[in-house]
Amino acid sequence: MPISGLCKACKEPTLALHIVLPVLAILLMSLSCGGSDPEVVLLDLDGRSVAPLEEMDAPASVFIFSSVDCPVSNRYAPEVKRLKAEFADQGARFWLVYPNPAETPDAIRQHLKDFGYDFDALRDPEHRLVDLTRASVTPEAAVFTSDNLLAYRGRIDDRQVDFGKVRPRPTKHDLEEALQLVLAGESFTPRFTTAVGCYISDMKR
Amino acid sequence: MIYRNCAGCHRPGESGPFPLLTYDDVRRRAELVQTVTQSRYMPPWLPEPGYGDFEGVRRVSGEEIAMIEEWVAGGAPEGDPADLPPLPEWTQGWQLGEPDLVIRMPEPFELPSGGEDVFRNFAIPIPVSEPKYVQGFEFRPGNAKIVHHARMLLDRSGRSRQRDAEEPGPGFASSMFMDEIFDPSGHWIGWTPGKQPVLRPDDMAWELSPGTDLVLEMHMLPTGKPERIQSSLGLYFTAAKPSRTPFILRLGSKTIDIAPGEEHYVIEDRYVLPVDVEVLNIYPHAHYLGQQMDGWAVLPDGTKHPLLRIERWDFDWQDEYRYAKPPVLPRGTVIEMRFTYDNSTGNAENPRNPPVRVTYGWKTAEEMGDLWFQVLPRDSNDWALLSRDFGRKERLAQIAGYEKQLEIHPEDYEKHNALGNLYLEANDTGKAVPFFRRALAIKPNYPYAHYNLGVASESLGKADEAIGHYRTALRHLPDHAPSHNNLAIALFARGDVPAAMRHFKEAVAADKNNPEAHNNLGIVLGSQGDLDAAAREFRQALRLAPEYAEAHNNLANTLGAMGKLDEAIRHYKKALEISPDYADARRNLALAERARQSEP
Ligand code: HEC
Repeated sequence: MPISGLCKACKEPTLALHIVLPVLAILLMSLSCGGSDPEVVLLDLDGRSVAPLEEMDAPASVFIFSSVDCPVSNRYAPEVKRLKAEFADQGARFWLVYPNPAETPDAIRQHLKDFGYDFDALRDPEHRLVDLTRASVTPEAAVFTSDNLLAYRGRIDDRQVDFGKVRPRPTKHDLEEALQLVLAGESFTPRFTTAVGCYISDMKR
Repeated sequence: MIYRNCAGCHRPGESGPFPLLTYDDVRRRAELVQTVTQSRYMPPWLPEPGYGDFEGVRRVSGEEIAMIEEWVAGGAPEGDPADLPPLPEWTQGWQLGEPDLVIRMPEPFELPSGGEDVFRNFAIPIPVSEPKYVQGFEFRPGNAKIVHHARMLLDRSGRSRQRDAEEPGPGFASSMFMDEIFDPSGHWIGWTPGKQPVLRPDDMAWELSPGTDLVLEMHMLPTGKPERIQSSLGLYFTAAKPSRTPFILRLGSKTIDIAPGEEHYVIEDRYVLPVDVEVLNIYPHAHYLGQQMDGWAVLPDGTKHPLLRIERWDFDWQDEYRYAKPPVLPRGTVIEMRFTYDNSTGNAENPRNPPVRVTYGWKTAEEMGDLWFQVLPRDSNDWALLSRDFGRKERLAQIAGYEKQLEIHPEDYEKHNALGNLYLEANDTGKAVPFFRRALAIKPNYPYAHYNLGVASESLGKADEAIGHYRTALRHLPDHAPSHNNLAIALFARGDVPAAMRHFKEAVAADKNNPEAHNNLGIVLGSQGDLDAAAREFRQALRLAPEYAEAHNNLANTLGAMGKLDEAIRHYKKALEISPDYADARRNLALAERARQSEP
């Protein structure tokens, strides 16, 4: 299936889900269509093109937008690794996506090593996936279903409330809940939350 | 503006997570820079302007924030690179120069990659063999990215060292402050990111005596990857004995008790200054429920003088603030404080969700409310008066605190013992005794309660009972130096010299760096005619505490008995120099001088 997956979702607001979408969600999703060429091509660390959404065969694909030097995003490394350890067995596919153009493949390799990330890493200097998902900060997560529907985009959990304002423990595990729903194959409302972190640089707004 | 306000921390090796040194460093994060300056999260600085004039203010002005906003809106243009001012030059290494003594964590601590903030204490011996006067310090975290703040305290009891040894790995976790740990007299030693070390005036140093351990208490924030840290503290000494000693006043509450869901809990406190002071420093403290903090002074003429306001307290950026021009508060001034707390779910930083009752305590899930003032009496002779007067207020606050704690934890024998101790200090032996008995009822044989009962019995004139209690304490805690010492004194008073000698020796063995123990042993040795051994003990006491007037007098007596009159006279004179009202020393000196004149 070509990577019109997300737009398919937008253009068919019933989403075959029999659920009334919140107005905001519909708005965001239709915005993310844009009508232009939706091909999402990212780069791996050797500079090769990768179209992760095209080879989507996993029941859930999880993209974590990350940065080498954002303290908020780095502090989430253990939680992101925990989620992968927990959900990879159930078929979820995890990627780390580095959207800041200035972060070089070498810096990213070092970052993966320092933080013990055993993840496939992609660069998104052109902000193809950023634009498609409307992610705005690191860390932020996007979850796609096997039908290429965007099921969730937003914070990993609610621990980081604002800059410098951190709960001792999260009270809501948004990404984990989204993954459970997607993997259960149940009908659900796509969810969007606001993530707190470092803005993805050179964002065109 | 970035060089001035941000680059000090946002450069390699410092606390900031990324450098902000070049145009590109800032342009890449232009919107983030705008957000964090607008919300005043950066640069980190809690006090509101207009409430106290502090040194090292880190605050961008409204115009600067507007300028950033405009710059970002205009696409973050570079401008002419030729206009770029030169990069500031930073001193490498120790900012105050090579320290006189560097105390370093003997081994690194490994901070896990994730989880909650870590509070850990490290007990490190301070290798000095004679008293030193500390004029300044510089803390080097070793890994500035993970330390949110550090506080350094002192311990002469060896108990924190013992705890450190008991727990696996470097340091110990207990965030419970033990009574044995204290700040240096009139000072505190703290560090927060970006803090600039300073040397205090050399007549305001604090005394560091041999046998003291440093207790380094660090609040560390996991970064996402495993981190190591090995911090050092550099100390700068001065030869001069301090002539001015600041005093730490504390306003606040030790009876905090906040119901779950309470959004606006208030504590208030006040104190009438009995002497004229200057306020050098102010240090507010609360945990995660603290919101707004105010401190002010009402002068005798009724004018109100603001000392501090923090509108949104942030535990993670706590700091002490030094006045650029110390406010002078005349005697009769009332200093006051008011803090508010939010124990609802509306406070995202509430450690408990759903909220629970929160009471006073050192742990971060408990609450505190303290506003400390470092003040300098304008007349240094007033120090003792201030200390006595404030000591009374503080003791009442502590008694109220323990009474509240005992309501909540009625079976806590340590708190019963501590409360009894406070009554003992207040010379209210009658009130003290039942608390020690209660502690023993809960925890039979608890040695510290027996020791305290010994002290209480002595003050009631019951020497036999006192001896019994000290002996029981020592049966369960054989190395308890104060019990050995007091038991020895009681036995000596009864004429049982051999037993007294044995216990004085035990007291010295258990607390080798205690000058009083050496002095006491010297007295018994001297009384038995062993002059050489006695002189050795007095000299050791003086090595540990050169300003110990009684030990000078005792050494002089011993030297006189050995016929060394010149040396004896020197020590009597020294004793009188330290303590001009010392009648025994004056009489002894007169006798010694007469004896020398009659020498051939
Ligand atoms: C006193 C040292 C200090 C100063 C001065 C300072 N910073 Fe920071 N800054 C830090 C620290 C430490 C952090 C990391 C906080 C954390 O770990 O979450 C930080 C984080 C940041 C972040 C990332 C926000 C986040 O938490 O993701 C930005 C952006 C930032 N600073 C910008 C600035 C700017 C702009 C200035 C000057 C106007 C400035 N800082 C001045 C110490 C400082």
